[in-house]
Amino acid sequence: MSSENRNADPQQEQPDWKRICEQYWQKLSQRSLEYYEQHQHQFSTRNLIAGGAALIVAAWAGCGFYQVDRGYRGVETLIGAYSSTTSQGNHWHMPWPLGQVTLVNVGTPRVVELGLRAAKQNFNIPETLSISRDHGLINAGWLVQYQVDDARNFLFNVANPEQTIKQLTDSLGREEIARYTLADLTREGGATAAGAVKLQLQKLLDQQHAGIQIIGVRLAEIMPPDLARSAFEDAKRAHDEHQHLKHEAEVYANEQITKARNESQRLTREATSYAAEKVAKTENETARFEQLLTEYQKSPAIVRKQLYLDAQEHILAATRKVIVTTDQLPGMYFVAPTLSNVALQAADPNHAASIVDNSAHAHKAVRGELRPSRSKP
Amino acid sequence: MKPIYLVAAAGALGFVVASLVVVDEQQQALLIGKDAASGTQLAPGLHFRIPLLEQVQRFDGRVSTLDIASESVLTAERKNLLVDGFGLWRIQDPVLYQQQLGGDELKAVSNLKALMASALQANATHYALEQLISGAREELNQAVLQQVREQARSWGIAVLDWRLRQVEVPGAFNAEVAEHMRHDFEQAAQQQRSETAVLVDKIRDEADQKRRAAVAEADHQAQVLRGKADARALAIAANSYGKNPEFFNYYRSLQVYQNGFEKGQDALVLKPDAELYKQFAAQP
Repeated sequence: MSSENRNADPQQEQPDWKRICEQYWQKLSQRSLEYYEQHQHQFSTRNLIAGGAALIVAAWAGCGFYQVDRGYRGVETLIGAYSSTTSQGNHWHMPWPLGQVTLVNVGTPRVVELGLRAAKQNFNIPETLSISRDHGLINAGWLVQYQVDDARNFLFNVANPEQTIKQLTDSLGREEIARYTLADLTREGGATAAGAVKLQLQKLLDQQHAGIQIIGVRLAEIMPPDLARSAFEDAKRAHDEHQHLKHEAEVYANEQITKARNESQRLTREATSYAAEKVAKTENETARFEQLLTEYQKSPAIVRKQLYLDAQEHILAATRKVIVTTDQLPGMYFVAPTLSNVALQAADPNHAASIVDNSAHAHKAVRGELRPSRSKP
Repeated sequence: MKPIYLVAAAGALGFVVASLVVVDEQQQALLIGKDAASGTQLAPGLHFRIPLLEQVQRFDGRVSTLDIASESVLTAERKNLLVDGFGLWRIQDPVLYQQQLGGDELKAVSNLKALMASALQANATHYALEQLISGAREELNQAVLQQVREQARSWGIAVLDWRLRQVEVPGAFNAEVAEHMRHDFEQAAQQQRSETAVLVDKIRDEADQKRRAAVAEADHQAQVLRGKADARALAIAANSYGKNPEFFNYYRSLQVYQNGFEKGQDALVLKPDAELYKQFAAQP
């Protein structure tokens, strides 16, 4: 069942196009033939020629439609003479050979370069030097940006606008450069000179009705002659270095300020803490003393004895001891190298006095006192 | 239709086409009859002529530039200079142009060049080199233009502008100037560098000095602070120990002895009659 259906469906859905076409073609040719037979008197040779001519004229006229894009102007001429200028949109103008339309780009700025170093090198053009106010020689490179202001004037008035702009810029530029020194030109003078050139250039082009508007003139390159170039660049470098080194020194100076502040703060901090510590320590000591004093005032003898014995205890614990009986005469004392005056004083106040007196002389003298002199008294 | 008519019709058509003259907007055109030296000017647009008898001469009607390259001139101070210039010109009167120059552009250009060169030479002698470089350029431009314009007008040519371009001193002058400039730049660079060094040293030294001064000041303050603390400590001590100087003397001396022996490397030499030993000996 289903397979039968499948076979039947395509036959229904796909009509025989060839046959249908043939049917229609037959119908059409039959109708045309009938029309021709019925209106045979109208198909005279004259009428046929007229119809053909009308068709050609219509096709020719159709060629007259044209479109002007944004930023363009269409300049129409009729049999050679200017007729009108059209702007953006669709227009019709008499087609060739009677009329002609030239589309002129007025929206895009165009650039003329003059005397740029790269171009000179590429095309092997010799240096064209301008003379500055201080009688220096300068290779000046100019960039002139312009756009078409009036398409009609631009097309019909000046034969070679770019060449004309070049020549005028060259002349005006040299005149301006002669008003400045090279140093001026590398600073603000360059822009001022370019501004003056722009004004003059526009004025002169307007005198010729060139249909050109100067957008900008720039003194793009200022170079001394090749012989002096490396020295010139070195001088510029020296100028740049100046800025750089000065900046570095200023950074260093700022660092020093920070360091000075930190150091000062540290000194103040240390002094403050010393002061606090010192006062606190003294207060602690006096507090202890006053406690003892209270007890001392109650029973001086006991406290004295107690303190004395405490001290003895400490001293004896911390030292080596040599005990000498009075009736023995020692041949030699063993004396520790670091034996201090205080130790001697504690042991023998009489001797200590003499040692303290002599201590100013020499170490040797002290030793001499200690050893054999003992036996003499 | 007989063939004779066809030939006649073709001939008539050719005649008509040949008699049509279209002058473009940027052109100047002249209709010249028998006399080659005269003619009538045609405006842009459609015109007719008699074929074979009348000719049409066309010229560019636009403004053109004209270069005067490296013309040698003498200045007021008898200095030799090479000077460039250029002019802007256009054909003003095609009839005159045709009459005087035969409508030959090459001839017109060479005549104009010669004219401009001689006018330039004649006028340049009135100015000094200094003036030609700057100052008097515009004046010279106008003088040359005036002179050239007069003559060119009789050729049917309008000279619209004339300007000086390059003024060059021939010979070794450029090289000398360049050498001089190089010397100047070298000197400038050297001077700049030494100035930089001086400035940088100054900045650094000043910074060092400031730092030292600031630290010294801070040190002074710190010492004052310490001194004050010491004074205060002494005052506290004096106040406290002054309550019993005798006991203080005793107590403090003991402390000194004690502190003096604390290192543990000392030795004591004691007599048997020392107080401690006495006690020690007395009581078995």
